Amino acid sequence: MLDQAAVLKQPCDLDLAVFFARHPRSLLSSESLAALLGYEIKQVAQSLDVLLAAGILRRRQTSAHAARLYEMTSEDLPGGDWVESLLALSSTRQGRLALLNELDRRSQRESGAARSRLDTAARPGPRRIDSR
Amino acid sequence: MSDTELIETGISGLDSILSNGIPRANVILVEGAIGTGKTTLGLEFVYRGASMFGEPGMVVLFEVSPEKLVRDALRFGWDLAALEREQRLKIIFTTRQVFHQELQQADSLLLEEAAKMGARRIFVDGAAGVISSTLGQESRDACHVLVEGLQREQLTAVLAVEANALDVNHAIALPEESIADTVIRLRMEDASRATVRSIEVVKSRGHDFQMGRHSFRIVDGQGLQVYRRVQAPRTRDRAAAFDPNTRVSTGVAGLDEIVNGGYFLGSTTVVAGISGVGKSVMALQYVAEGIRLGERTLMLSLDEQVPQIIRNARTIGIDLQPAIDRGLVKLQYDPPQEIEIDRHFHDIETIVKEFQPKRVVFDSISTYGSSLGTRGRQFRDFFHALVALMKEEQTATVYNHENPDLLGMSSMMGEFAMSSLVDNIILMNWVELGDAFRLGLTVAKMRANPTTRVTHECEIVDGQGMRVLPRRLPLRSSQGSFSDYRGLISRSPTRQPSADAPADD
Repeated sequence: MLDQAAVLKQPCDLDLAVFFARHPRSLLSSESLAALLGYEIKQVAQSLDVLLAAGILRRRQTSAHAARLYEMTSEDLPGGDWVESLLALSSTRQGRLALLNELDRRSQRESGAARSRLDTAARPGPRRIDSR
Repeated sequence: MSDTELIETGISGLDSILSNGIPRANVILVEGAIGTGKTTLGLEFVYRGASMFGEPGMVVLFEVSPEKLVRDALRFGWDLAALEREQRLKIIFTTRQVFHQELQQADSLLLEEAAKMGARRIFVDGAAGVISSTLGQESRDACHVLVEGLQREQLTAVLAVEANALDVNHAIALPEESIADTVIRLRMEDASRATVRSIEVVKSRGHDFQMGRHSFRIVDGQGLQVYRRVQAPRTRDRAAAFDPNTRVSTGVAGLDEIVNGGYFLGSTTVVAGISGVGKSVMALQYVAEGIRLGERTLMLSLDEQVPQIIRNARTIGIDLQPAIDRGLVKLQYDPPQEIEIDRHFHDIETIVKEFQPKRVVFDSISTYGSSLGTRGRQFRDFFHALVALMKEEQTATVYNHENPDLLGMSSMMGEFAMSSLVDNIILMNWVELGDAFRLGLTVAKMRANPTTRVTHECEIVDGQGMRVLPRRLPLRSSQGSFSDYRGLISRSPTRQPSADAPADD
């Protein structure tokens, strides 16, 4: 299921996705969202970007005021029923911990992979022997 | 009524109290304490609009999660998720602060959403904090902003306000109440140790409505069920068309002769007597006579459940079941505990209008007295309403009434001061003669009929029921016939000097 929800990387991404699954149409400011979820505004903003970029969430806003209308769009996405499974799993303490652990592992794997990519990039290449 | 367009709420019973609905674009304030049913009322208003009247709606929530609202609505059979999928309903979660700001914006996202879906109804749950819980100009202004915003979009709005945000005694008019077009107050009222829900339309601009506290229930699978206050005066569907001639026979041998051939259609008869004197037997014979003549008969009981009534009838040779199966007889039992009189009356009214009986029996009205009390208005108004209903429907109705006087009667109706409403009163009483109790029957009152007010002896025979005995009973007993005595009902039976006193029959 998390494979389908591959876009979720941070605990805040998960919490935000679950929040919008339960409140599929919300008119909120980033500050209200941060207060409701208990995360820093910066983190919430990053997670919102993740969900928006993945097309899970749609956002409408006007220039006049800070609140935005968020609409969960997962039902429109192919394989969008993962949200329901996500909700079911995160509705228990154990399920939620398992999800967070999996996200942690994924995050570590990805940062490990990134590090190894970086290491590879930083490692000097095979020494070229000038035969001349 | 002017050309004001009324919209139906669709809530069972409420539109009748609102005289067919609420003017479109009214702002309706629903106030009440926690658990009084504000959310259910507001949600049903929007749900019925979308599902019954083709009016899309919007629900704005601040505290309740939409997920829970959708789940709880299923309990009433309201599939909100389906309505959302069909774009007939939108549930929006927001904060009070954002909502307040939204309504001040010309380009409000919320109102844009409402316009986009063609919403005609909106329910805002927990609006008190939006308007501000403090009194003063600021609160009034906030309320104006809200109302203006809603009216711009021609939305008929229900705003639910917690009672704890209001003045407890309603001594001071709050901004919400004066600015709103309609104010509906929900209450949970103590009735002894029970709790009864009530709904009151405090004001409603632009149309007529029924004042006072009406009852309501929240019923699984249905939603709100509002029952018009029994006491409220009403415009009857049709004036009672009195039939001055048709009589309905009693079914008790010998009684028809005493009551001039039977009770008039539309008349009210009370059979009063102590417990065990034979009132229910007489009632069952009245039902049996209806069966014999093919007349629809309704028996309402607060004392005995239906199987018990059927069993009792068998003991006097009456088999009710075939008539019940044929739809000729309807037996209705309502337990007297915690009786909600508005609902009870509504049920009776519905049965009578649908079943259209010619004969109706109540066994007994004394039980209403013990549930409602006999001294307050509640019982009297209920009985008034009942009599009016039965007259309008032209049923010949018999009410059994247990009079607690064992020997003799100090008053016909005891504490039930309603003799003036009743057309016929039949007193049944034990008369002690020698070492035996004998059953006496006196027609004490019979409106528009000649009445002799002679006490007749009756007997109840197992397997046969009741019959009124002839006045003269030769060799009946050493005590002789009732006609030999005077003072039978006044507790001092005295044998008359001449046992050959002329009988009236």
